[in-house]
Amino acid sequence: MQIMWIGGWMLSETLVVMVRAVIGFFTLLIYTRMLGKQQLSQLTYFDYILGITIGSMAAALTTDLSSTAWPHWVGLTAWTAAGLTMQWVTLKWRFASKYIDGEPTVVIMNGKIMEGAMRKLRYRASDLMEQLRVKDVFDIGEVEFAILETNGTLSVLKKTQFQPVTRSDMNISTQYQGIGTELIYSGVIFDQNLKQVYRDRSWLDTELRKKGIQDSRDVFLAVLDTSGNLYVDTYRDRVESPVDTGDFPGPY
Amino acid sequence: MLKRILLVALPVGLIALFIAVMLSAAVLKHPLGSDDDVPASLSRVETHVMAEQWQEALEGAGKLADAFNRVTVRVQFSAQLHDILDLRAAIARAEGFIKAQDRAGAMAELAEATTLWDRIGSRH
Repeated sequence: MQIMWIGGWMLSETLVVMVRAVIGFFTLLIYTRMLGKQQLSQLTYFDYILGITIGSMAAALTTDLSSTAWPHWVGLTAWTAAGLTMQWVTLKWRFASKYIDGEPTVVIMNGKIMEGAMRKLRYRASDLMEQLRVKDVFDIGEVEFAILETNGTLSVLKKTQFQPVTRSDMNISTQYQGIGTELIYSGVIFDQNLKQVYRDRSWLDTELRKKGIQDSRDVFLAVLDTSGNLYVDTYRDRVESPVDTGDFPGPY
Repeated sequence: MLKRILLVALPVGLIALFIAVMLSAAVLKHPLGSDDDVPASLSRVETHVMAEQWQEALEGAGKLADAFNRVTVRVQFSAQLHDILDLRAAIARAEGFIKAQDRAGAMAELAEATTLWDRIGSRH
């Protein structure tokens, strides 16, 4: 900790960096929440660069004591504002959206590779083969359509003869399957979720007792699926022969 | 409803607080008492140096350094570290010139200290 005592008064570089870190951290947190909930895989290349630039400005705000925090913070705010403006413009104006974000490009149409479209995107055949492999397609002859999305991912539609058979094809009846509801997490019962699935605590206690669990606080996770099955995981896992995936005895 | 207002008020309040901290030097550099009035101390030392009252000038330079150190504690979060250190160095050099009874050198250093003082908290 570098503290300079000047005539009995404290000038602390560490303290200044800590205060600026708090400013940078919470500003970044607020701004990224404002910029939206896009997942990393959904980001366009520009969104990615935007994130890096804003992050590096927050880092400079924290540790670059050769200038005040203000210009860095203004830069951070301006880039965020520009990002928000672009988001708003592309949301409201379809032309701008196509112009800025680009359009998905068909790179395989009816089983034929679109070399011209690929050349325009500077997208190589090896890139295509690689992205097809990522999609578990090892034979390009199986592909009817492949579309390169604006975020760089490849969407693939296989020829019908190579698509897996579904229950619908076999005329097998199916049951509705929705999203499971968490009833207990870390020993805490969610009454709100219980109410949502028309159950109560006494029902939950009975179900837990059926599984040999006396106290809900012993439960790490309990989820009720739409078929009415209750999945319960307790803190005490009784695994008789655990599988060790490590290849080094440790200690780590 | 109250929860919704809080959800908006909290980030807005935080941003406002951050702006206040980052721009606080312009306000906090002003004296809160008689022992942290940097411009008045600077002006007194300049007067003594011009009149070649070296003993008074030396005492004044000491008080000037003390006054600036008091202000430093308040403005360090919103001022450039280099400006603070440079101003401290300029005052120290002025003290040296005063001890050597060098009027030109002392006045040059005090002028630099004045410029650096003006820079603290300003958005130039």
